[in-house]
Amino acid sequence: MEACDPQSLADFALSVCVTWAKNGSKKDGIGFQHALGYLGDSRSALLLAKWYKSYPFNADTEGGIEVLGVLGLRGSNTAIAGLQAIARFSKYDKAIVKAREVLEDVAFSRGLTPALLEDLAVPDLGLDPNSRMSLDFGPRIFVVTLDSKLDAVLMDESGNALKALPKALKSDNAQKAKAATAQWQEFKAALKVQASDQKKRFEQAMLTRREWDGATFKEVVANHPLLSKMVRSLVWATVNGDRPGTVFRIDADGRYATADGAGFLLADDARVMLPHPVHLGGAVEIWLQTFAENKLTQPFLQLARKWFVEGPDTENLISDRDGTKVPLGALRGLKAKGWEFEEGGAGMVWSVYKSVEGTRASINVEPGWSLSGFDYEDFGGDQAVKLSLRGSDPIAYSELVRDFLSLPVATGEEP
Amino acid sequence: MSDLVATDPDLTNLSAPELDRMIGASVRLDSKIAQHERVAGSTLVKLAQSRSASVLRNVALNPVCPKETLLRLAPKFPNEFFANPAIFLLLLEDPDLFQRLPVTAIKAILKSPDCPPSVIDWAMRSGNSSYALALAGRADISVSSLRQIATGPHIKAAEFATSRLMGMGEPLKEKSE
Repeated sequence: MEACDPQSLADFALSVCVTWAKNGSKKDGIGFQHALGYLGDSRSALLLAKWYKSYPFNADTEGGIEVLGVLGLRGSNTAIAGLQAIARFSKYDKAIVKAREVLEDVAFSRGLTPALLEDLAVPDLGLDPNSRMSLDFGPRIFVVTLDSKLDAVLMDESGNALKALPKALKSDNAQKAKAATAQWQEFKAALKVQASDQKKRFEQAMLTRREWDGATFKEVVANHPLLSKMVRSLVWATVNGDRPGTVFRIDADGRYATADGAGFLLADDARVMLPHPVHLGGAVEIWLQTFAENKLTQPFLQLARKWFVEGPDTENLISDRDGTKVPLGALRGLKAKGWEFEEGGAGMVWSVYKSVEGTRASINVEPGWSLSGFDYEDFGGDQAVKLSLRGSDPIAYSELVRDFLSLPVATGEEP
Repeated sequence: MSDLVATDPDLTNLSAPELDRMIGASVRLDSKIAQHERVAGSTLVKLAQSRSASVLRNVALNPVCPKETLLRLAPKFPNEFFANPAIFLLLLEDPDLFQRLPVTAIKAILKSPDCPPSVIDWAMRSGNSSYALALAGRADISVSSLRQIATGPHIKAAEFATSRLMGMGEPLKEKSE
């Protein structure tokens, strides 16, 4: 082992593990995953995270779960980010619980909160502080940067956008061009995972009212090479009590500004949040105007998000949908948004519900459907819906109503 | 190849059975048969299996094309579907014909760059959330239509339209002078 360089060990571990997986990932070969944890590099952390997020892949066996611990022991940013993705997005409860446990242990051992560990573990993917990366072909250099949706933007030296990285020419330095092409491929693969995870993470931060202190926000969020372009296309706010105080954005030059364009100094001890439109209220219109003037698009729905407050207007919208028929597939799709099916006798579903922050929404469905997959005559198919809501958390209320009102009206077609 | 093109048979006076026997020889010939005025509906049904867009386009344009085949081709070739002279007769016979197209087919028509303006107008007025979403994604949709969708009742379509207006630098509401 000592005689081998780390790169060749990582290559070996990765190759062995991929071969094992391609051949059916039999249980007695679980050691190959362990080898990946101990010998692998950022590529192996990415691979493990991808496997655990998308497939059962032994996540329900003790061996598989142990590997999450190994990922934690590695402790690199990629490994931590991978664990966070598993903890947040895996379909497998056991993997989620274990990933959370490992993250808490890592955070504790480093004297950090899990939330701060999450921020600190965001990889820069080789981007410089200005969110740029050069791909050096020798005589030609290509530049990569990001847009507000965390999509890669590739340009030539004159700033012309390119759809793909050009092939090396005879006049290029062959070795440099080969290395730059490999760097580009690796960057694209890692960015695909990170872009999706980070957008979901910040949307979640908006929905759960995550707070940062001013100093941390500036250091690990606003100026992060991977995040800064995305951060500049969102609206932020200081926290005043449990409400937004000063609402601001960060412009293209990194300047903090309020809606009227006035400069704003964020104090290190201020608390910062990503306000939900229900918190912005009438100011949403003003910010939409500001963003339109700057032709800004957002990485997820913040300003364009429909929002609802308790009151007669929303109640009328809800009651207008009472008894409306909705395709069964759309109701089943609510599961992906955290809704649960309330199972009655004989495995029949009579309602769909979700509880958030003490606010509970329940959609009664008629005639109901069977969870067994066998729908008896007169059951299954389009469902008449009726929503009832309890609780007063404004964001939870708005989001639950939004989910309900987004359900499409059935057209009577066969699924 | 040029020899083949030069020796394409003259189809002018051929009968429907003769045309039917000639299909499958070449894409170019199939394309010509598909637009022939004497071609039989059953031959067009066979030609509708072609992988060539030019053959399918001509099948969709031919007034003797059977209704079911025409409806199947409509999502891919909306312009030809609406340009088919028989479509107005079919609509007279069966006013719900277009409505009976599956939602997915109408969505495909609405997303197509070739979708006729009259169909876009109809979809804008339809009150259907899926159609509104399909329209909001059209590259050539007017700002006023986007605003209408953005302020409409269909949540996903409204959110998408609002996002697009932001990116286009257009305010959600028209500025009043």
